[in-house]
Amino acid sequence: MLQNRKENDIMAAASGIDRVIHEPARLSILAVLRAFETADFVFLLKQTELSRGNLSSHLAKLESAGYVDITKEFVAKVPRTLIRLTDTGRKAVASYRAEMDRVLSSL
Amino acid sequence: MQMGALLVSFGVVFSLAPPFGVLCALLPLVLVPLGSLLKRRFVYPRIGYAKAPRQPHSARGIVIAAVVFVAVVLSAFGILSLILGLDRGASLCLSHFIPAVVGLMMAIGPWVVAQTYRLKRWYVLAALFVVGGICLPLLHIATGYDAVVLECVIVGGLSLIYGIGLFLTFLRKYPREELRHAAE
Repeated sequence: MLQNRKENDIMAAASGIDRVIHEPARLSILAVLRAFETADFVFLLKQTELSRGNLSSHLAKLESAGYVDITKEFVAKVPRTLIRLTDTGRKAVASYRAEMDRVLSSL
Repeated sequence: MQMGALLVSFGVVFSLAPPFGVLCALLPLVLVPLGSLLKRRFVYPRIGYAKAPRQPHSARGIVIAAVVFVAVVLSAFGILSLILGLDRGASLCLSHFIPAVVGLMMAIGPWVVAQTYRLKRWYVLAALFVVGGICLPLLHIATGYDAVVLECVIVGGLSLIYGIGLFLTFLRKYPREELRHAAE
């Protein structure tokens, strides 16, 4: 009975976890972006060691969730994609961290 | 690398033709765009671009540092003048104290950069300025403005050599074969 209650608590806590952030690749992208004001696509590619396609698709998901802001610009005729963590994204990462702390402490 | 080039240029120009030393103030107009060009051409395509967040400085800390700095300079001048008399005190100040003070002043820039971006090599550069300003007159290598010029050449030269070494190591570590387009 006690075991069931504990499992239920864990399940309840885990259900509050943000699934957009919880995916390892997206989490690593957000971790990098959290440390910098802004970063470009190549930098994220090097830091996360994801493939181009993978990084693109994860960035698209993060952008649609409103967690990152993607802008494209030209620097000396060379295109550059700049990615920045939005305020919403920063708050989401903070609350994800708090949520994970709660889940892990209930284990 | 840019800082080193600037200091070496200043030191060399000032020792050859002191009035033209002022013209070195215009060097950043050439060196900064050149540095940006090098980064755009060699650095960003290899490892990408990221802007580090700035660490905010407290105005209180800067004011305290400035007050302490002025107090140290004035008290040293006062103590030397009291002990040795005004003439000898002032002379000793010019020969031994000016290089140390200039060294301290030149250390401020690298120190701020080190504090802002948490880069250890800038702390080393700041320490070199301070140590150079104190040691050059004490070891009788150079005194007065000669010591300042020599300090610029030595510290700037070391900084330039280190910067070039760092850049070449970077180019070797990230060879051209791995180059990809800078965009998605």
